[in-house]
Amino acid sequence: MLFNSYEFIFLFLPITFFIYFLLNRKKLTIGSKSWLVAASLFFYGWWNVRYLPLILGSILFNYAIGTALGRSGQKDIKKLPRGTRLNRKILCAVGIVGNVVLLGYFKYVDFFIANINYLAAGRMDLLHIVLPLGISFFTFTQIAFLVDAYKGTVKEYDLLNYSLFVTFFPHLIAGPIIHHKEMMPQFSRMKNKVLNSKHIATGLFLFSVGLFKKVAIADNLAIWANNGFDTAQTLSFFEAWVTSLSYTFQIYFDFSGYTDMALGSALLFNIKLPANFNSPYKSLNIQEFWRRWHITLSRFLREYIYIPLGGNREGETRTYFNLLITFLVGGFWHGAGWTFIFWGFLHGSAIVIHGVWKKYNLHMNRALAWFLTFNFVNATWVFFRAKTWGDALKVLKAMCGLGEIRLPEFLSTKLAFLAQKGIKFGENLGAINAEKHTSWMILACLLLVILAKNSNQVAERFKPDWKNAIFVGFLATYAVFDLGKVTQFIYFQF
Amino acid sequence: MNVYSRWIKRFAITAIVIISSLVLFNFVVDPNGVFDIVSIKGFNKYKTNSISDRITKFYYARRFKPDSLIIGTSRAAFISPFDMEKYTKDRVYNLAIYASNPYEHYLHLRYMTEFFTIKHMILGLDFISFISEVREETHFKEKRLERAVYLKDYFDSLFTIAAIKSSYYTVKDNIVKKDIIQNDENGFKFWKRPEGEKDKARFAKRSKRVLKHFAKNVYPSANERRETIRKNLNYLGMIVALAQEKNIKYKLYVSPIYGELFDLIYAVHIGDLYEDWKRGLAELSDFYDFTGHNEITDNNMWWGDPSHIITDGGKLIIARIYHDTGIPIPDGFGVLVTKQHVENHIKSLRHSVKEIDLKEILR
Repeated sequence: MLFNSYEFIFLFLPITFFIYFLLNRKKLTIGSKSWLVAASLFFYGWWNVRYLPLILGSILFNYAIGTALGRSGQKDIKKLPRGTRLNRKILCAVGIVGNVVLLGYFKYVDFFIANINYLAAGRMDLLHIVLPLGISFFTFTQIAFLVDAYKGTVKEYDLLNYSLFVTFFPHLIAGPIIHHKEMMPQFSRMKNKVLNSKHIATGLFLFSVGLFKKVAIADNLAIWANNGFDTAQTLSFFEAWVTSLSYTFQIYFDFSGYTDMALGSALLFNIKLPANFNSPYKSLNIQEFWRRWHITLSRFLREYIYIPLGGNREGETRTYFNLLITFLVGGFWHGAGWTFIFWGFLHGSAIVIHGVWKKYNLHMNRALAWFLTFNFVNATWVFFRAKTWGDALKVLKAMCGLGEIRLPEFLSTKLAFLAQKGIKFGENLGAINAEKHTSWMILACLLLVILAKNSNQVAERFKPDWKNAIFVGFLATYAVFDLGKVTQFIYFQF
Repeated sequence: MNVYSRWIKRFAITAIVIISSLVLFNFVVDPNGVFDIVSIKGFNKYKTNSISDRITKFYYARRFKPDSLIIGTSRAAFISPFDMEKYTKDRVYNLAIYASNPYEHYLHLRYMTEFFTIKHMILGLDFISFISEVREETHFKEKRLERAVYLKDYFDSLFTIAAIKSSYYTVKDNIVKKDIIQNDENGFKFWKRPEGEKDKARFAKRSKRVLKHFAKNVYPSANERRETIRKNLNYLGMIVALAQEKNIKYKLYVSPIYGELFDLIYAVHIGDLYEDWKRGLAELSDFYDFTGHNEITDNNMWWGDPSHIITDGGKLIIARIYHDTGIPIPDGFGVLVTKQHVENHIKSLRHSVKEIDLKEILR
């Protein structure tokens, strides 16, 4: 089920909400949790009921291994006998491999077949497996649980709470990637079982803002981005820039809009999910960008990939190597394709370069630093979005001015001298079907992401008054009326 | 009540008031013609801003209860049902839809024959519709044509930004515009004859754009769409079979295109494919072919753009198809093609092709 659908907004969410608190009111706390698990599974199964056994199997598998690890590691792990420690290691490895195999089968098997076919001139048929929704997210969530169970830091092993932790519908499909430490206590806290008007108001605020970001901003930008990347055969200089900027803002408003909705709907149930965005396009360097963009993924990669690889504890070169590997994994996690891996490589390289830059204590003008960071991120999104290398190069070449440069017709008399330099005049932005307001909208998005407070900052200091009630009511209404063209969230495909 | 509860109440009231007002506005104006609650001249009678003709024409056609149909793409949309009524003497509805293809035409005919007794049908055929798949973004929905009630259309007419915009512009157009030339009741849209220098200049500009679009995007894609052509010919066969089964007197015709657009087919080297398509048509049924060079197709005064003949031209098409000798029709405009002489016809058309400067068109 999509957050941006009538069935979610007008049926699923209100029904789940009212029954949950009704059960809590009657002191049926196990019933209310079970209800939330059942509702979350229904939410998941709405997409394709055939994949329900998959997520249920995954939960039971990880819970069984996690519980076994927990049982054998209740004491100080270092004091355990060697044989027990080895068994625990094997058990944990089995759990992680199980998750990775599951993810690999559904997400990466066709990628490997295609590459083997290419390298060995083979003719193995692709399996064309449908990627189960949210598999990358619930797999990562559970790997984190297993590793922490192995380390002995998991405090609670209740199947119902664990199921709720994994399936809780606000984060199930596209994150934030949550940690059992921050979730399990919230499910048990008694004061979270009663209606909290502050949470409901803030939740409605966040949900409405997120919905507006998604349907009124991201989905409109998607039209030009899709036309530029997928439809247009060639792009002019300005068309390419509008294409890439449209996508840069689309992915931000789409994903942060989704996250706002996730945070907002969780808050209705008195559950606080971790923030995933903190105005990433305000960043002045690439490291800062990754502290502000998809924060929970960065946290996961740091804790479960970068640090186990050795982090920064084994010398400078090894640190850079670890960073690069972490970003390659991050790129590959996003999608089974070389363009994703290359995107990860570019960001990893930029992080390494930034590390060297920091080491020599070099300084840069803030405006220039922002400009370089933003444009680097914008250019690398091209590889992330493009379906093929050809599409990526088409956009990037034109952005570099290697294609046609066309100015609007009305400038043809004033700037006629430019015609001699190969600059053309005529229909501008036609290849991406841009409209009159396209350039203005992109400019508005730019100003919004670099000057305005983000929704989490506003939510933290949320002061309820009649003006913002009407304003948010208007945003919600506008978004509801724009739901007709239901589109998926970008991160659903990962 | 604490400040947060008060805020929730205000938020809910705002949302409910705005939503109810807009839904009521859309319901009354009914920009897509789905509900037909009130139809007031100078307010909402003409659905000038429907989000899609596909929706509007479908609902009007159902209410119209036609005896005869004009089916086809936008090229057939400007043919007047009144012109056809002269010959069929019954209620004709023009159900021609832009960017449609034979599959959609088949679904339309199947739906209409299920609910009404259709006696006559004219089907306009276009090469480009045979190289096209149906496209969801054009509001085509199979489900609409498979069931008596398709709720999404009602929903889209009430609960969308597009519906609000359409309602607003519908009212504005109905108030301001004095020369609305469409008749939603029978699906007729009028394209008037170009007059004076301004119209000529407009045609020239449009012509340049359309020719470039066809040369760059439309025609070259045909080579990769042989399978689509085959599938669509199959659907045409199903249309013919259904018409025969339901005792519908049907006439097929290949829509006229402006002379230069016809020459372009050969200039971009898809002439063989185009000719094979006509052979395929002839295998299925006799048809009238209005393409090629003649007094109509070479005279820009008959054209809205190189791909669309004006309504007056449609009158000639109908007259030719119904053998009306009372209306003068230039020679070569509308040739009856049968399986027996399709080769000769193709040969003579090929001889008439003129060379055109493709580089100039693509510039």
